Amino acid sequence: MSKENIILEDFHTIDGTYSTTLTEKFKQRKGWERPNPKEIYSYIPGTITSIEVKVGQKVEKGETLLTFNAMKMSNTYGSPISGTVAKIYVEAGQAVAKGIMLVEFE
Amino acid sequence: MANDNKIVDLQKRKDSVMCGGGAAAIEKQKAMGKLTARERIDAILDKGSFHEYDIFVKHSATEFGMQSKELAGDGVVIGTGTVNGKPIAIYAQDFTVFGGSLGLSHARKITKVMDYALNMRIPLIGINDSGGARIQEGVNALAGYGEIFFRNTMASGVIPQISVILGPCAGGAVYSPALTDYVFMVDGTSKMFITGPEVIKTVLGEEITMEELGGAKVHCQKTGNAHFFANNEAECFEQIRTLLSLVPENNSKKADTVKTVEPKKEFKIEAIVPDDPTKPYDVRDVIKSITDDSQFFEVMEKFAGNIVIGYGRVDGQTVGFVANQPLVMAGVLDCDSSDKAARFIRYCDSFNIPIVTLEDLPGYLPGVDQEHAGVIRHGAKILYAYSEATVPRITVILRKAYGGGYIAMNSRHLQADFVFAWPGAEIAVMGPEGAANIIFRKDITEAADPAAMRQEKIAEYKEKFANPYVAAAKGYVDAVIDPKETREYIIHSLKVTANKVADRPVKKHGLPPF
Repeated sequence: MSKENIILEDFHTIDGTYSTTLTEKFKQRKGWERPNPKEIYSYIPGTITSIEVKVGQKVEKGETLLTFNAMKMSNTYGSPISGTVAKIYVEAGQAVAKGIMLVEFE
Repeated sequence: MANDNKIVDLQKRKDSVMCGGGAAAIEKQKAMGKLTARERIDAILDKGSFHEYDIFVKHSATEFGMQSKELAGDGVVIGTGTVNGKPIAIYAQDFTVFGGSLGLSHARKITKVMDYALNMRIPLIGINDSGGARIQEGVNALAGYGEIFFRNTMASGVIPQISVILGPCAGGAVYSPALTDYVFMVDGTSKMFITGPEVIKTVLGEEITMEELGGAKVHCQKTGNAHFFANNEAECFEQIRTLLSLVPENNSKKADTVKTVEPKKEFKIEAIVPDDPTKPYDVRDVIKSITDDSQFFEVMEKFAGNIVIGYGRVDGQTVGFVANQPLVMAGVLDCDSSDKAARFIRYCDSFNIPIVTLEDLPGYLPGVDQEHAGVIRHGAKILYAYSEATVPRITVILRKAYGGGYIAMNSRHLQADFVFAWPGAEIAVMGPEGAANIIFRKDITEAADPAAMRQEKIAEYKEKFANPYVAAAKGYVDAVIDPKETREYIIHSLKVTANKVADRPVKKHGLPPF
């Protein structure tokens, strides 16, 4: 770090406010939000192979929502709750990264 | 002489191996701004000291048309030589020969030189420039990697192991560098990843270049997988030679002592640290005001800048510095800075290098992301590494030493050998503001003017507790010293601790929090 172009910023702690530089990692950190059980996200990168539910369909807890291939294995997303499907964000054949919204419940 | 023809024949055989993968492949290598394997070795070692072995080794693969393939030296150069006059073992993968791919014979050459290094107790340098496993050799290639990893682990903490990434290093191959002590990378040349851009694109549809995925900047700044960043190969080789001059050749020796040089006059230790504990400064200036000739060889400069680690000499002797950096994130401890410091402390302990800790930190970084990233486990590494270390350990408290941070930074309670504090040090269970808000909550809320009362109580707390004398009264601090005396106190401590014996209970190994 060259000393000429240092930009000092305020960094707040319970012990007061320090004048310092902030790292990129700190600036880019995501704020925490309580997860919404009605939103289903991918937990592993993979390719969706089939969608087993339709928008408006009533689904029981544990029922298969969709199937996918990841890391050379076939697998399924079961519904974590009982409810009505509000929106489906992916289609069969689509490659999805980790943390992508797949299905939303009403 | 009767043997003349045989010597001509030997030379001919040697020449055919020395041209590696041939003129076209070498030209391609050069076009990428890369040196050849032997050029790299020559550049790192003392001039003319390299002795090469196993140049006539051949592969024994027969499938997929391999029986007709002649691979010079099987794509890797091994040998011994000297750096700064001291012996080392070295290997360099030759990308011009079949992409530097690793087959069984290639791996056996590497493990041979690793065995030399460990048996002779000399440092090992591995130069990685390889497309990965030689697929045609099947499971034999995997066997080769496994044998290298085992030896890396056996040699760990016995001899210095240096990995230099000077090309691609992908898939399983990355685990050899990861098991070694120090990883050197060159901007634009070095690439390390487990799965490459093509796999990522096929599986996820995400497009990323090799450089963006695992280039020198990524590993030196973001992942912490690499320790030294260089702009070109020449700079990288200079860093390697400097590092080897500062560490001993094995764990039974001490680093070489050189002639003492006083620190440079421009580093005035008493003028660096501001009185106001919220104001930043560059702790590297404090280090340079202590070290011989104000030289400091920083390790992991670009990663977790809130802690500074590296080597300097004091009174001619190599010392490992661990220093909180108020200039970055106020010098807090977090997951990354804990990992960085803990591993360095363990390195110094393995190789008989005394540790000097310079302390000025507000504590651990608060946040859900930190807690959920396991800051408990990461932070514990520092406690473990210091407690375990039997080398001389000296702490100088420059300014703030609050709470858990105070304990972690080589406190007396972790059995530091010497703890010194500057007169402006604030050694307390927490910072004055936080402490006053808790202890005097009732006085503050019930006061006619809460803000004024808060200021009054903060001042009161500061006066009574935020100083070095409470800790000094208990003997937790050995001496409160004038900043100008710091170097002299450290030199004296190094002399006193030179024959230190610290017994530890016998065990197979401990269980440090990984």
